Amino acid sequence: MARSVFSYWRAYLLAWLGQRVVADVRSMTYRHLHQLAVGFYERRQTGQLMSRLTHDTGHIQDFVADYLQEMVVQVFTVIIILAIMLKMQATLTLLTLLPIPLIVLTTTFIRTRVRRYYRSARRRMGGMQAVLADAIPGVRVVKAFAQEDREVERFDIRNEGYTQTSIQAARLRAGFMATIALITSIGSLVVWAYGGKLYFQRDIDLGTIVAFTAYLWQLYGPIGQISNMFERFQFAATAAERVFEVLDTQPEVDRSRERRHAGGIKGGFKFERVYFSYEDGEPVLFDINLEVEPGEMIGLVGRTGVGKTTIVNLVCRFYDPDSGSIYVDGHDLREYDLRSWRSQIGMVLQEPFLFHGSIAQNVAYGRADASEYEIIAAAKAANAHDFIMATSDRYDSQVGERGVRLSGGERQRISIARAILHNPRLLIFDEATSSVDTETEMLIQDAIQRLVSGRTTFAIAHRLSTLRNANRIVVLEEGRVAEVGSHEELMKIGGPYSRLVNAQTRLTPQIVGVDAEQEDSKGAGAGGND
Amino acid sequence: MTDSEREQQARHAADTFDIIDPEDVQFRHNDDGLVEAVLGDGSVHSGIRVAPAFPITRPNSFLYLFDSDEKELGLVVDPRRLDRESRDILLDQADQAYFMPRITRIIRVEERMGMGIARWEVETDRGWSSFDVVSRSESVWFVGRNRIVIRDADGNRYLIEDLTALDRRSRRLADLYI
Repeated sequence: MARSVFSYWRAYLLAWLGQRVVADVRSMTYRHLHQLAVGFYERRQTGQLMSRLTHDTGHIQDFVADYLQEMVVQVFTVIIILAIMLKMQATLTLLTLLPIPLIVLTTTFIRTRVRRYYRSARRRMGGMQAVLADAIPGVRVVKAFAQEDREVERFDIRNEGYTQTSIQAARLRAGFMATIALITSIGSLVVWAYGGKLYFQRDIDLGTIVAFTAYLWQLYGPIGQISNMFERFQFAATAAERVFEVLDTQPEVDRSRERRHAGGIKGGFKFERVYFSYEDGEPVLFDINLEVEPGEMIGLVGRTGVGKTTIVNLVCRFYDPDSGSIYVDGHDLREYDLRSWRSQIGMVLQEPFLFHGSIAQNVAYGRADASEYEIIAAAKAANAHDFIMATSDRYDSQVGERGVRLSGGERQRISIARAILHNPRLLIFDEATSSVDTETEMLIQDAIQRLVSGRTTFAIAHRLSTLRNANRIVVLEEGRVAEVGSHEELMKIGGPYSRLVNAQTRLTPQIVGVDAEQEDSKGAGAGGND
Repeated sequence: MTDSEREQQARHAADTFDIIDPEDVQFRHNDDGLVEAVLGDGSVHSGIRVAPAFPITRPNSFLYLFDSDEKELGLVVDPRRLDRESRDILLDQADQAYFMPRITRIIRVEERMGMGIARWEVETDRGWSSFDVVSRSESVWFVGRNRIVIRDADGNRYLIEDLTALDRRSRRLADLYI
């Protein structure tokens, strides 16, 4: 009875301990992931990271909850049995320990090999997860291009790789177990041989030999069990390695100089001799010099890959310049506390990211304490209120994973409402209207116009008509500032900007024509792109 | 947020969008049984449709009014400030506009193996009900820590107002199936 109660509590407490420890590791790892630089994610696949957080921590948990207790029990059993045997016959007991060095040697020999397989297996499991994380959200593209078989094949290759590696590891383990069994059998033969000799010399009686043999198997049993657990230990150890690799990654950019709070900034920028490269030897930005007045709207223009997004990445401090500095209100950007700096930034991206939850939660994402008034006001300002009121649960409607239940234009207007509610000093638009129809674009442009008023804004756009309200346009070529000026100034110069505008005019005369008419009717100077 | 802060926000919001002051509106039923709104300027609008902006999280406030031509008349933020008759009419309309029984007890949940469908048998503030839930991940969601919305296969919503306030058996069933 007492044993059953003890056994229950032992199992329960160890399972509890395992769950708690691993829950803390998971939480710590996830928290740490959020501290890591954007570059860390750019170099890794989502599925691989998810695998570390779920599967790998799960293996640690299995070990702590199921095997650690068993290992402790078996180690204690070995110690107690050894003590009894030593008391019975010390020399014979020492002989029984002869196989131990052999067991240690075999274990050491196998350990490095089996760990290699387990590492590979963990990587391949991560690879499988990565295929799933890639293909499932992209299922429309897969179906549209009839690539189901290819995706299944991609998965099968990794699945087969994982299976083969696991089988190899199991084969090694089977060989290891058989070797351990053989070594312990040799140990028992030694006992019989030496024990027999002692018996015939009348140094020991038959009863002692029989009892000793019984204890011997009680000793080798737990040793075998411990060896068996060695595999699980290796499995957990490689999983732990992968988790700790994440935890050991240094967070973000260098924060040693931060000593200013960014609250209340005006938003004046000065780029001074800024150079940057993502990879050593492959510079992306060269000698960028630019001054931006508080509240000014800057359009960033240039061919794909010239460094427009990189400038935005530096402004957000996803990266720091390799050399040179960016000053905000006269202070080096690196002096501002990172969190307070980023809280001053609002972003509207080409592919707005909505989180699983309600429309209201997504609008209030940057300000969880926002009132219903503020949420409605922001949605109205973003021209989102009418479509929200037409959904079944209105502001409480669930948007689905990544906002899948809304159209691209609806998602974009929610993201603008989010930026309006966040009330940032600095705004970043990255191709905010490139993936919507003309009517929606007008609604979005109208909302953007309300949003940018009085805030320093960097807007990236390929469709140049969307930059008609920019105070100045910065044209980048090959990572350098090629020219800076208003639309009219740059058109007069007849440089790269005017060539881009003319090229777009030839390609989309009807759209530009519409834009030009609108601008003419407003009497604004930055009008059409002709 | 305190009441005075809410009041201040209400005044600020009134400048941003059409808020109807509860003291400037009355609701009544006309001879055809339709709801009429009499606004402060004396205009009468019949066939009023009420649409709660936050039907799950704030079902009895932030009520948008539409006339019979589906034109948005404005927003009644706090119906408690209406006269009693008007308040009853408005809240009754809001209730009809968004039908969501509150689950008071979970009697039984049966999963159909391999089909991803669960049949729920519950008691609600509107009486006994039984419904199917397809795809739990898509049909059940938390609104706050212990508030849960369940959408059945026909699109009807059910609300568990406070999970911790349910009886022990209901909580256990909810833990298993939510």
